[in-house]
Amino acid sequence: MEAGSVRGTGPAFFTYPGEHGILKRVMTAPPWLGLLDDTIRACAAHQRHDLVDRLLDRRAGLLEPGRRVVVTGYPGKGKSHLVNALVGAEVCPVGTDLTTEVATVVRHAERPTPLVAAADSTTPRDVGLPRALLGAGLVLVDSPGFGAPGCPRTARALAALAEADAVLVVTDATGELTPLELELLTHVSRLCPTVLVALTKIDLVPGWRRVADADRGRLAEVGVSATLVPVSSVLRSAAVEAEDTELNRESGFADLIGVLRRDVLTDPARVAARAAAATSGLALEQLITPLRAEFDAGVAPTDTRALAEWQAAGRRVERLQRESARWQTQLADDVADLVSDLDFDLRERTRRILREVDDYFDAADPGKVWPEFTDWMHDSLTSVAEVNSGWLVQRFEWIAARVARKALPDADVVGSALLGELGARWQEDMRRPNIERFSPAQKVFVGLRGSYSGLLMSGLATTLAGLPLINPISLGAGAAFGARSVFEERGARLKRRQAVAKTAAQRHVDDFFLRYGKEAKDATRVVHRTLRDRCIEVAHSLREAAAESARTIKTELEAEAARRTSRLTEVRRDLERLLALRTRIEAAR
Amino acid sequence: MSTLADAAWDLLARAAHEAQPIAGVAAEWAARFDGPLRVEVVGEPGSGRSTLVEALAGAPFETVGSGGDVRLRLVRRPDEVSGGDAVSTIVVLSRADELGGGRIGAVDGARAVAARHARGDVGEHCQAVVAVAALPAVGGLRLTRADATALSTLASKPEALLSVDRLTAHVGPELPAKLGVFGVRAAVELVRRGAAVPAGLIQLSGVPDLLAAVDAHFLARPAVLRARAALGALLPVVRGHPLAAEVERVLTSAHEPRELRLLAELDSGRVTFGERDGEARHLLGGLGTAPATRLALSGEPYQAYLRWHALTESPDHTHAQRCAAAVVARTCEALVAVGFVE
Repeated sequence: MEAGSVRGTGPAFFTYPGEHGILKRVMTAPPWLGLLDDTIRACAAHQRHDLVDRLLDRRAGLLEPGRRVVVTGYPGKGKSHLVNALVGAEVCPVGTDLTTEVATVVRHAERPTPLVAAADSTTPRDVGLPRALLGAGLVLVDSPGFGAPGCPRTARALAALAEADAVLVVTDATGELTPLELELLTHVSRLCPTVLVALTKIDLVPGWRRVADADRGRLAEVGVSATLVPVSSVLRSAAVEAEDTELNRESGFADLIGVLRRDVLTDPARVAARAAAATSGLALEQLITPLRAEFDAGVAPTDTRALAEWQAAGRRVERLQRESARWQTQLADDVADLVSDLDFDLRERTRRILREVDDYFDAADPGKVWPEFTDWMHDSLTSVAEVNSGWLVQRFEWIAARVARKALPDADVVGSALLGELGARWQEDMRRPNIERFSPAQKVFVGLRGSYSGLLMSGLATTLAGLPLINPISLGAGAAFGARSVFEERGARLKRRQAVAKTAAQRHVDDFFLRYGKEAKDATRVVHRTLRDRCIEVAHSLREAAAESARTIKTELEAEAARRTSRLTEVRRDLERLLALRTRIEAAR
Repeated sequence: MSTLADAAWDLLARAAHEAQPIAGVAAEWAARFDGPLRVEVVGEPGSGRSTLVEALAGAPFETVGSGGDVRLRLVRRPDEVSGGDAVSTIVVLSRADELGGGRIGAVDGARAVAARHARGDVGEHCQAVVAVAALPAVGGLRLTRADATALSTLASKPEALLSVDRLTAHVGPELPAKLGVFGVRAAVELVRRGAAVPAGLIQLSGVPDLLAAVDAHFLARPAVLRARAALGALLPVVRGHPLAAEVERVLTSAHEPRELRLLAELDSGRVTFGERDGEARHLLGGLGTAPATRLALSGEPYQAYLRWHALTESPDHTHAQRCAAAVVARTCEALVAVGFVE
C-alpha cells in the first residue's frame, strides 16, 4: 500500500492486510484498540507515516491470538538454550559462540512442524510444537543476541523486540547485570511493560543466589519492575529427559512457567493493553516532542529586524512631514530676502546712473549730445538689468539647492531650468524729451527785442540831449543791448535744455525702475511658486513612498504575527489533544 | 642480541643523559633490560585475572599488573576485543568452561571458538587467541585428601554432578568453589579413568596452551619485544625533542616485529603459502634466529630472496600473501647482506 495521502482519513484508513480478522473482532473490540487507533490517526495527521506503518504492524500483531514473549539479551547468555529447555525440544540452534543469527518463532501446533534451516539471514524461522504452554496462548520468540549498535544482528534483535507483547530478558549467573544489560532492560521496559528476567546457568555458578540478589537490587535501582527467575536450562533438559519433577523444580523452570502463566497468560488482554499503551505512548512522545519544541519557540518575540524596519519607516514619514513645514518657511524667507536685496541693488544702480546723468548734463548740451546720451543710457540700463537678473538667477539657484537639500534629502536637486524664462533683456528705447533749440530766427527776434529796448533807452536819454531818438549813440546802444540779449538768451536756453534732459533721463530711469522692478518681482514670484510647487510635489511623493513602505512592512508584520498566532493556536490545540490522549493511555496502563 | 634491541639500548643510553622526565623513563626501562620478560595481565573485573595470574605462577616470565613489555588480554567473549598493539598482545578467552555450559567438552569447544576468532577480526589485534579455564588448573594443585575422597564418592553419583547446588548438597561448598563445576566434573572423570587429577586438570584447563602461545610469540624473542616496549614508553615523553624522530624511525623501521606478526598470522592461518609455510617459518626465525637455522630449508640466501621476491609480484596470490611474501623477502635480503636480520 502506498504510504502517504491515502492513510490520512476516510474509509481507506484501515485498508491493510489483516482487515478481515479485525472486522470479526469488532464486536468485542478491546478498549486499547480505540486508543491505538486514535494514536495512529494522530500520527497520520502529523504526517508521521513511519510511525503509522509501525503502529499498524503492531496493531495487527496485538490482534492476533497468542501473546508473543520475546526472549532477548546479550550473546552467550543461553537464550536459545532456554527456549529449547522451555519447550523440551531442540528447536533453536545452540552453540558455544554466536549461534543465533535469525529469530525463531515457536508457536502451538497440533503436530510438530519439521525443522528447517533458516531460509535466509533476515526472515524469522517458524516452528510449531504441540505443547500445553503454547496451546494456552504463548508464542515464544528466540531472538539473536545484541551486538554492536547498528550491526545487522542487533537490528534483527530490535525488530523482534518491536513485536513483543512481553519480554524475557536473559542474563547469566556468571556475572552481575552489566551497565549495558541494565540499559537494555530500561529500553525494553519502555517498549513493552511486561518484562521478566531469567538468570541462567545457575547449575554452574556456586554463588548464583548472591548474583540473583545483586541483580534484583540493580533492577530496583534503575526502576525496572521485572520478576527475576533463576533457571538452569541444563537441569531442565535433564529433567524433561528423565521426567524428574524434582530436578525440574531445581531447574527453576517450574517457577519460570508459573511466572509466565501469571504475568502473561492469566490476563492476555491486559498484556496486550499494556503493550499497546506503551507503543502508543512512545509514538505519541515522538509527536509531542517536536510540537512542544515549536510551541516553546513560538512565544519568542517577533522578528526584531522587521520591527526595526517598520519603526524606521515611520520615523522617516514623520521627519519628511516636519521638514516640509520647515523648508516652506525657509523658502519664503529666502525669497523675501532676495526681493529686498534685488530691490536695493536695482535702486542703487539706477541712482548711480542718475548721478552720472546729472554730472553729465551739468556741462553737456543735450541738444548736441542727445544721440550719444541715449545710447549710453540704453547700454547702462541694459547692463543693470543683466547684472540684476543674473544675480537673481544665481540667488535662486542657490536657494533652490538649499531648499532641495532640506526638503528633498534624497531626490534630485531641482534644476536651474526652472529659472530659464527670467532675465529678459531690457529693450525699450528712451523717449526723446522735447528739447527746444535756439534757432537763428529766434536769435534775430531775441536780438531785435534786446536791441529795441537798448535803442529806446539810450534814444530817450539822448533825446534829452536833443538828439533824435535814433542817433548813432542810441543805435550803438541798441546794437550792444541786442547782442547782450542774444547772449543771455542763449545761456538761459542751455540751462533749460539741460534741466529738461535731466528730467527726461530721471523719468526714463524711473520708468525703467518701475517696469523692470515689476518684471523682476513677477519673475521671482513665478519662480518661487514653481519651485515651491515642484518641491511640494517631490516631497509629497517621497512622503507617500515612505508611508507606503511603512504600511507594507506593517502589513507584513501583522500577517506574520497572525500566521504565527494561528500556527501557535494550532500547535497548542494539537498538543492539548495529544496530551489528553497520553493521559488516557497512562490511565489504561 | 637483535639490532632493534641494540638500537633501543643505544637510544635509552642517550636519553639517560637528557633532562627529566626523559632521563627517568630511560633509566627505568634500561634497568629492566636484562630481567625476565614482564607480562602484563589485563582484563575487566570478573574476567578471572587473579586466577590466571595464580595459574601462571612459576612460568619463566614475570606477571605484572601494569607497565609490562607484553600483555595478556583477558576477555569473557571474543567480541569484546577491539584495537590494541597486535605484536605484544595475546587474547585470553578466560573462564572458557562457562562458554560451553560447564560440560566436559566445554574447553574444547571454547578452543575451537578461539581458533575461529584468531582467523577472523580478533586476530588483527593480537598474536594468538587462547581459551583458558584457569580455576580447575589452580584448584587442582590445592586438592586435599578430603577432596580426593569426595571426588571418588562423586564418581558413583552422576546425579550429584548435575548442578552446583547438588554438588554442594553432597560434598559441601569447598570443592565446587575450588574447582568450579566444570573442574569437579572433569576431576571425577579423571578419577573414574584412574588418571592423575591435578595434571589432568591442568591439561584440560588450557593453561598449557597459553604457556605455549607465550613461549612461541613472546619468549622466542623477548629482547625485541622489550626494546619495542621501552621505545614505546619513551616516545610520549620525548615528543618535541630531537630524539623523538629517531625513536620513531627505529620503531617503524624495525623488521623483527613484522617477522613476529607474520609468524603469528601463519600460525593462526590468516595467511598461508601452502607447502612453503615451513620454509617461511624457518626464514622468519620461527625455529631460531641464527642465520643457519633460518636458511635450513632454503639454501643459498640470494636464491631464496629471488624466489620470495617473485611472490610479491605474483598475480596468482592474494594481496595479503604478496604483502607477507615481501616481509619474507626482506628477511632474505638481510640474510644476503649481513648474515643476520636487522
